[in-house]
Amino acid sequence: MTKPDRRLERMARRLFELLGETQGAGLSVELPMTAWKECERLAKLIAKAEARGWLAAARRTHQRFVTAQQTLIDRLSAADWAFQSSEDDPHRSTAADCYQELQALQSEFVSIDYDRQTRKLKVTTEEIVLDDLNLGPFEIVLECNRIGDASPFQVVALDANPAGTDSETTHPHVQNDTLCEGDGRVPIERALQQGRLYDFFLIVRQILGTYNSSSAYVSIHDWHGTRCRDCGTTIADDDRDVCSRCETDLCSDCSYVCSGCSERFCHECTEVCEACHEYYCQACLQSCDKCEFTFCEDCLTDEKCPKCVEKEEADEKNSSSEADTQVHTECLGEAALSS
Amino acid sequence: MRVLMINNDGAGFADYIDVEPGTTVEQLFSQQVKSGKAVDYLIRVNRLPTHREQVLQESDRISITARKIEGAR
Repeated sequence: MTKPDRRLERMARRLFELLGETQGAGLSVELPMTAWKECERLAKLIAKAEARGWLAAARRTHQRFVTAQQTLIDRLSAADWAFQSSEDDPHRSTAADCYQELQALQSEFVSIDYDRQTRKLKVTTEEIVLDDLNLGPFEIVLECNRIGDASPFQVVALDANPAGTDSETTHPHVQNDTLCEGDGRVPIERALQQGRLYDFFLIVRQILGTYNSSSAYVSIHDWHGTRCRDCGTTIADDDRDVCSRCETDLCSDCSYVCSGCSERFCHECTEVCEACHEYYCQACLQSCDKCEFTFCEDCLTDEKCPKCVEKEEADEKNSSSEADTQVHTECLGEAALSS
Repeated sequence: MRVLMINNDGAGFADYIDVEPGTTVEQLFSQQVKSGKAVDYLIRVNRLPTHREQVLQESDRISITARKIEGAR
């Protein structure tokens, strides 16, 4: 026969006392008074209607009474079932149960410890690895005096490998040491209500060992942060821009706002208007018909850039002055002839 | 004979049930978990790992916990 573990025995005794306090005796009774009062009220109405000879009203009220009476019966049956269940509760823990729970926890987990002062039962998991991402071991801390409250436990990363974009996210489903239980919420509540500590810790460990990509604080894919393609720095989610053309991730310093359409673009997908030197996306720039450099719409006149327009005007001016000169010469000639 | 059955799936069922003497862990599993493979669950008898051929005894405590339980955010 194996010798009982004195440390576990002491822990079990303390836990048993505490669980007894939090679980209560389970003997409180709640009577279905609302349903009873409704039956009473309708019975009085039927009597009143009959006394006044309002038979149709009495019949209608009687139908409502039958429904109310059934509700009362249902409530009483439910109360009876709850009472029977609490009498035969398979999980009203004994000190021996607590000892066995702790013994099982000791063999299933890396370590267990109970802090008498803070009334915290702490269990350490092995390293949690999800899709090759090592998140290190976690300590599941159950505040035994808070059993019955919502989430009376924390999940603390002992050798944290937090998400690059949020240091408080130590696991895709843990933020600020709080586990979002998802599918495990109800079984966790049930296990704690019934003092099944072993089941509680096992369920939490299985949640930690599971990755739900569709509902994670930070996905494993983005765990080390999103990298800006242009400068390579890690970008927090709320500081991330995406190029509207090639859809690469960018930090706010490396994304350019197109002065035409106001969308954000990466360096490769933007160009500078040769005339005004503002940044534009390729769709908001056009080539000059003459020189074929790119310009924004505002800087083009009849699909020609300012320089080409200027040059064209200068050429026109020159050609017209040349023409003037020629005409003048010819005119002179004509004048000479005519005079 | 009576055994304590704990199913940590879904609503977290936990109650005493009657089983035929000689019932194995695998037989109880297929009775209790209609759509699921035993390999996807941690099955413990009296809080200890077990094997599927283990024959259940009176007052045994059997717990079934899914290996994968999806958390959320």
